[in-house]
Amino acid sequence: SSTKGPGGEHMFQLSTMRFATVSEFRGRVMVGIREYYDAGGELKPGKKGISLTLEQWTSLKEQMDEIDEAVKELS
Amino acid sequence: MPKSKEFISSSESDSDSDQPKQKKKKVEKKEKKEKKEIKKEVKKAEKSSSSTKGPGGEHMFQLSTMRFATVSEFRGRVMVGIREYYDAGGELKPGKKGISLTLEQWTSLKEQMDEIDEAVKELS
Repeated sequence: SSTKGPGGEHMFQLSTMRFATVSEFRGRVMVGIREYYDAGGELKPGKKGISLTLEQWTSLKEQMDEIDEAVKELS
Repeated sequence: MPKSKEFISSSESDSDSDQPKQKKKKVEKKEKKEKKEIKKEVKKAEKSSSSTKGPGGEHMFQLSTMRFATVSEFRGRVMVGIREYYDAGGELKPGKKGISLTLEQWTSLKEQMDEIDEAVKELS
């Protein structure tokens, strides 16, 4: 269901160059949402993005419905 | 025979005979005002319980002390941001660590939420 990225992270495609990633960093599992770029045929993580801790990822999931409500209001 | 003041109609503003009626009106007015204010507070609380507004007018959803998910409009498009903010002299401002997703990308993220959680489980 997922592919492995340059750093061994699990990659979940959001758009052509944007991915959600699951990786380990200093013994902690992180969920990243990041833009990658093509570096001579190789896919590399760019600076546009953020790495969430599990706590922050959980907070995001918990508020998904409320976020969607706000999206609805603006659409 | 002297006219009894009690028979004067209530529409006349005679302070003596209207005292009990005026008191009632005052109390009713106060109760109405209080009811209105309570309604206002409830509405305020309901609004603030779901999200707060950020420096740019964006809807803010707290993920941690300084990290927020945001919903805003940019060039006519609704964007979902996940960003770290910082304190600029008491004011909250968006920092450079973060990303703004289009609705399509946000939808993609939601759709793969379960698979992401599976990968998290594998690494935990």
